Amino acid sequence: MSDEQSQSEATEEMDELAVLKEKCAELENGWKRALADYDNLKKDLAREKQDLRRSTVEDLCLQLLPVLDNFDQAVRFQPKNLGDAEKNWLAGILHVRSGLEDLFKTFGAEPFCEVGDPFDPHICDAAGERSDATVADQTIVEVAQRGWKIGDKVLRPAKVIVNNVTSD
Amino acid sequence: MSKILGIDLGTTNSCMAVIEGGQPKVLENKEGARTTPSMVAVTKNGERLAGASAKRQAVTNPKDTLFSIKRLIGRRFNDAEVKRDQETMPYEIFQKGEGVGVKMGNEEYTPEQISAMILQKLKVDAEERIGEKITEAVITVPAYFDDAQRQATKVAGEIAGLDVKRIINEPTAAALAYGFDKKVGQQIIVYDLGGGTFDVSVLDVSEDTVEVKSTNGDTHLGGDDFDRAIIDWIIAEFKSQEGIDLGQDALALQRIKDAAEKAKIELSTAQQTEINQPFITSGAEGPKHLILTLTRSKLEELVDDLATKTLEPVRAALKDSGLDKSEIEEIIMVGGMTRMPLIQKKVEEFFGKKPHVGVNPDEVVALGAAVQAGVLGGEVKDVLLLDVTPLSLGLETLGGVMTKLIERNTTIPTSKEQIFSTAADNQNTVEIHVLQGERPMATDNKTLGRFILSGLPPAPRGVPQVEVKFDIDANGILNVSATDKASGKSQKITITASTGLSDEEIERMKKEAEENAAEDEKKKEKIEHQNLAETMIYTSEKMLKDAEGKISAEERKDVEDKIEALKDVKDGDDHEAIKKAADELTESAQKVGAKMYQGGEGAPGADAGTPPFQGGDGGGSAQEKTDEKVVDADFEEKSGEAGSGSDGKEV
Repeated sequence: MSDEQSQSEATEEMDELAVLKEKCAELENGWKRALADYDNLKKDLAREKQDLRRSTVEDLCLQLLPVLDNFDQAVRFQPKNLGDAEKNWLAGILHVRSGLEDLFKTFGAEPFCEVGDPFDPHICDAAGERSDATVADQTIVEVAQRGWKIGDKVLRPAKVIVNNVTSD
Repeated sequence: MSKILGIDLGTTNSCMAVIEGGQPKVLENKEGARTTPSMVAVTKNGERLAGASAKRQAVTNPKDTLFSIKRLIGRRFNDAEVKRDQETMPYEIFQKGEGVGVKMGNEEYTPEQISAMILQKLKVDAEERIGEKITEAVITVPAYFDDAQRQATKVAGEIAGLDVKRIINEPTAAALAYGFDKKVGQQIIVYDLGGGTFDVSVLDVSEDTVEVKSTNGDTHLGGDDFDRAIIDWIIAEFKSQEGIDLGQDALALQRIKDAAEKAKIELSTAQQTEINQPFITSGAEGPKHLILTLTRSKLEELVDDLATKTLEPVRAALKDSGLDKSEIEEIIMVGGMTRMPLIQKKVEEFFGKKPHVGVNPDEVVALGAAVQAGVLGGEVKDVLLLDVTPLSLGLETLGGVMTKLIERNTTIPTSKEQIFSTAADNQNTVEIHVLQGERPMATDNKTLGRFILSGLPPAPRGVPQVEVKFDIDANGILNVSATDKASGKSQKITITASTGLSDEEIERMKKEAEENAAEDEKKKEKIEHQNLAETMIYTSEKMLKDAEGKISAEERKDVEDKIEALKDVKDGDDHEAIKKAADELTESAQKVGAKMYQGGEGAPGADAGTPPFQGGDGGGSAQEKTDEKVVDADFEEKSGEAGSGSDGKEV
């Protein structure tokens, strides 16, 4: 009788041991995963910090670009028949404008889009169209606002008028 | 196991999200944008475009640029909506069997095929973002979509190469994003004011489903109409000022549109904004500038009709649901326009409770679709839930201040150590007074426990290193221990109730901390200044002792006078005076210190080598030994002698 008893006790203990071993393996796995997740989180954070720095610069550029655009507008509307004094003053204003443009370059931003370029809707926004048969179809005939990019990323698409030659 | 993509396929814009790390996250498209215009086009050169690129050439290519296809998908050709679109859309819509066909670039397509092109772009961009293939999706549709429209949307997904696991209602997705599917037995209103359409839905949350009890809306009312109101005002103002109609100038109109949208957004937070567009056009006398001020109240005046108009469908939806507005427990806002304070105010006034705007209203539907996708994909399974400690934990230090060791909302289990030191020379016991709360002063917080560590070997104040460790286990049990590094002596205490406060108590403590923040700050500052002053006095007096015989009588007197001057003001309220006296003492003391170096005898003692002015921290030598910030603890002598600077509190 005691043999049977001790046998069943032994089986119970073996079962319990098996359960505990499984639980132990599960906990160890969970712990390792948590540590690994933490490690990966640290790596992700480092990456995010870099991304944040980059996107802050991009946001800043985007906010400042309209100021440069307005300078360009001002130049576009410059009065004719300027006297020497006015011309000199204007030259100074244009130097201020250059300084601002240089600032963008230090951020790594570059303008793109010129009259004559083929219209590419991936990087240019068509604000309007004209029809001129003497000019190549689907090319840019006027740049209302220059486009800007940082590296390969388009910061702001150019705003252009497209030559859309219509057959009628 | 691949991820299931959650997609909000909107009339004007689409958005996509997946579950990442147990949380729904919006995925940016290839261009880096979080939403994608629901537009498709074929250029003159035969190139097919989808998304922002299609939008950008829409002006020059209206016949072959398709948008608002959602208005047509799954409909019969004889539907009133189709007739209306036929009249207003620049692209060709015709009958195809019982349903609708559209023309793009000389080819005929069904609306499903067009929607598939948008879905295809989203799929490809998503795959690039997450670096794995996507074959399955959950797509949202308006609650009023009938079977044919739902089926057509599913077909669009299939054409795009997506196995659509589920089509769910947009308002339901919004509720999922907020976790309101857990609010069993509650009634929820979803107020969705998007770019071109307005939808309102009444939801009933039951044990296993979220049921849509009724829907209503206006399919041609949205943010575009609000923008239009501002644009019209700008054009009218300029015309009355300058006599020129800017609406006729394509480029000027572009600038005005951008400026109007920008102004609308700014006025959601500011009370007024400048519309500043110099050189907008030229007149007979030269260039003209568009300079206007738009106030929030003027904007609200311009759009009040539109905002009020949204309440009609709300009333109708309530009526159809058989509910009274008082029976609505939660209101969810969806769509960018709901950021406008006027809209939120109207909704709050109508229901008598604040609507929920916490989740980004442009993204909430996509996020909800991702949540559903996560449940279907088995990603939102039994995750080990972790608690946080609801209030900060720390101990009392010099001056009756609470020094926090573990900030509130820290996930547990966790542990944190910090080195403390003594406040008086030869202090041989330290009392650890464990506190919980957010106020800077110890007495304003809750005492969790106290204990004493005794037997510290005699040493000057600031020299001993007592490491205090706070350890909270997964059950919220806090163990605080203090160990003297020199003698190895250690003492500890176990506190079981550190997370046992009720929600109300926690909220009350947080609120009190906020309300008293300014006053508490002042008190704390005063104590910090006093501590600073006392440290300075102590180190200067010590230095004078060490400088015996090495400096002249005048130099000694100078420092002694400055010490007296500081002693006079340190207990008062005049921070400026304390700082000034401390600065003057520093100056004099440093002169003496420098002289002692020149004497060539080497640093007389551990402390004299360091500048006496150490800020609020303990003695310089202790700081050099460890990297951790050393803080003077308000430790009292067991014998009952008041420690220097302490307020004589009894143990």
